[in-house]
Amino acid sequence: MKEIIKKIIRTIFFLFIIVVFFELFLRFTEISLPSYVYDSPKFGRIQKPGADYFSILGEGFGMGKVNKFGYLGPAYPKNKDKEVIRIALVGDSYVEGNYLFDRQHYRYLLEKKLSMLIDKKVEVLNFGVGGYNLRDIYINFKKRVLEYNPNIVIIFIREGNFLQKDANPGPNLELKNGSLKIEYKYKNTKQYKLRMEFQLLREYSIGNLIKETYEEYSRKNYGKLLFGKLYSIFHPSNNLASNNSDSSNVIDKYYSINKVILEKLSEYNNSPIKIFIAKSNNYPVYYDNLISKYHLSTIDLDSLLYKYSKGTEILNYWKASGETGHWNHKAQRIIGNYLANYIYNYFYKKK
Amino acid sequence: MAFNSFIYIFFLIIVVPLYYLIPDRYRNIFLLSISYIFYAYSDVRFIGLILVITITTFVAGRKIYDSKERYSKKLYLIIALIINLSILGVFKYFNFFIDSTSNLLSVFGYNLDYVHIKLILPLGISFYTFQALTYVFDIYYQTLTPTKSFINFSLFVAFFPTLTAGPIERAKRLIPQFEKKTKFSKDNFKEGITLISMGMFRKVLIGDTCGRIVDHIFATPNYFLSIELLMAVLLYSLQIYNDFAGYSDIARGTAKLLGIDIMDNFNQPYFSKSIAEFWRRWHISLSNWLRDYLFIPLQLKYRKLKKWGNVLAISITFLLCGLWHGASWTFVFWGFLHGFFMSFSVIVNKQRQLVYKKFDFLYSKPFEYVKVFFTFILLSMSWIFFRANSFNEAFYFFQHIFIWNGTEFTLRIILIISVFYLVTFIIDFLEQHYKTHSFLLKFNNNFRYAFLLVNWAIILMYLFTSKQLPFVYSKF
Repeated sequence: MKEIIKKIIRTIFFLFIIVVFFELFLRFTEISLPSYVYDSPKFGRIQKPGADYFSILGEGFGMGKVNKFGYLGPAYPKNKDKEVIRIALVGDSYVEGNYLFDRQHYRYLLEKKLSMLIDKKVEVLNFGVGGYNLRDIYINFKKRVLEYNPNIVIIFIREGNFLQKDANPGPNLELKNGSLKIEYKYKNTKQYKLRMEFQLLREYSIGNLIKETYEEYSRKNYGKLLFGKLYSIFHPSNNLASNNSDSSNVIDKYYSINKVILEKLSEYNNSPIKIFIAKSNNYPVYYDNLISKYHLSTIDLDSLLYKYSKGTEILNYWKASGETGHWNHKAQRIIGNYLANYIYNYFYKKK
Repeated sequence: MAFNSFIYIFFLIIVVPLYYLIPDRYRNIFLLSISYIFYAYSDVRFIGLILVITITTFVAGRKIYDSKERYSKKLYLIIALIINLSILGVFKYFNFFIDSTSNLLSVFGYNLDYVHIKLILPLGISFYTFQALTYVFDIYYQTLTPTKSFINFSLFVAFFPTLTAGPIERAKRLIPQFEKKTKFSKDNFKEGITLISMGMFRKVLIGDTCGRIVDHIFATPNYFLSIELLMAVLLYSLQIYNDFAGYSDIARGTAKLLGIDIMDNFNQPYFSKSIAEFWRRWHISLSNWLRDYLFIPLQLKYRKLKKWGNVLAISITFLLCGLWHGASWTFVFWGFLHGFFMSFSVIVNKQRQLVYKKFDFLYSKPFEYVKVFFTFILLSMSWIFFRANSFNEAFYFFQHIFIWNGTEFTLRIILIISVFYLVTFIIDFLEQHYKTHSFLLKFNNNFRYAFLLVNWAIILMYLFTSKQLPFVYSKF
């Protein structure tokens, strides 16, 4: 009996030592870092102040650090000098760009070029959060971005942002008597409670890996991963069918709320804050009509990138992996330069 | 079928028990069928190629052995060489030679109208072609008697653990093992699992993670700063080693599960004190192949030239070694560099010995570490040509790597590099200390089981959440 207890204790001890070894190995090599996002009770999924991130997925290699205020890029405090021009970038992963170093991101290029053009200090703040839809983006804008007193806000919207369901539990917008109201019902959802349970685990590299494995498992897309070609043979059109049915259902569901969001944004047309909608790809015509109706200024990045690609070069193609996805390094340069020139021409050249 | 995939794990779970359940006399047929299924999984069309190579080599081997006259023996050897190398040449080098010839002619003002053949490089073609050739060479040099069993010979060419990236085995080692009866052994099983586990650790957790960083930086080096370029170069040295050594461990482990012993392909190569020593420790099966079937015959041919004959034999061997790795001039140049380093050592051998006699400290332990360090620097620099897609890209690295350009992440980058190196060093140190790649078996049972459990949990989660990279050498 004594011998068995000894054996059990010894095994537990070794298990502990080895788990610690792997935790340190994963953390220091940054194979898997503790999560750089967390579930804030006020904002939902958002970057953790001071957290490091490291990305080596198909789309690029990037390292960075969330600043002490909880957004990306240099840490500019909420109050700013009158002389400083402050621009806030708001959107999803196309703005967050965690697959890049900050110096490769259009945030950096915009800040650098515009300050050269207007000979003034320019501060560009990156409020992008991966996975956000238009409702999340709007809450982020209202509750967080405005606190930083920006002169200009560029909201990057893709077609998907209009249509996307909520990827993560967080505050949500609801329409009540034609006006928008932020709801915090998510705190009672099963998904939120589960994420809270994972919260402590996500502070560890191994824990974060477990969480990512669970998320991958929940997506139920693991057939091909596990069974390779054999899965494709037996399920030739599985993924295609499920994707198609998904998007057609959500269009109508969010239209009324998206319409009010755009209307609310148009209320800033006569305020000191200038808002631009950066169109990252083509929208359904009815959204274009709404944007025209509400006189929202748009920056057409889709046409810009098409022009630069000369119709042949794919500016979301990543040479290393051969995959397409977010904007690549070249696209970042084009966008950074274009935004700087655009803002310069819009506000300063005329003067 | 890649070793670092779930499908391969399922494949092993089915194949290994079945192999021992099948009556002994059907086992080799079973293994051969399984090997062809394994190969067909990547592309079924290439089965024809492997069959052509198998049949021609088997017949040629028989003919060489049966021929009485030296002339006929040589003729059959040449026929086997032409057929095997032509297949390799067409699939791997056709476009390279056409491009190179066209470029050369354009220098003299001739424009060659030519076409590219769009061919997919068959998986592992360089490996199984060379493995098959050992059979005819050994029969020709009278160190091997041909086997009568076509099944055993086919299995020798297509044995799935060695099929995609070696080790390039010899018929005299492998075929007798196929002819013997195998019984399930607990020791083989333990060793096999341990080797596969360590191989997966090397490949999935070190090789692939380094590889992803390296791939991104090499794809667009102009977007990265010197510290990141340096990171790519240093991590590539680790990637290629852990990727290939990991593959070899998994191959050896798989073979062990089937009761077959295949050779060690690596012997802590980065502990080498010279480039010559490196080649005795790195990709040993290819080094031995080149030594036995290319370098020694060349050395004998040029023996009248004495020292310079050696230099010539080394240079030719390494140029071809470079070309074997890939159809590109960057690979040839990488081979040239290694040939140059080794030739230089041969040329200054006398002077070096005089210096060593004069200064005792050159024999000291600390100086050995200095030699290891400088050898590693030479190797890492030469890997740039191996990895780069063009000379321009390689020179870009050399131009920018030495102009120091740190970032706010310099310390993080140094830490990442250091930890990857430290872990690789610990594994190599333990392999050297215990004189085996399955050193985990020397540890306390509780420790070993705890390690295997956590290691597999991490590897499976990592395989589940990220896309895996192909083995570097499977492209050769």
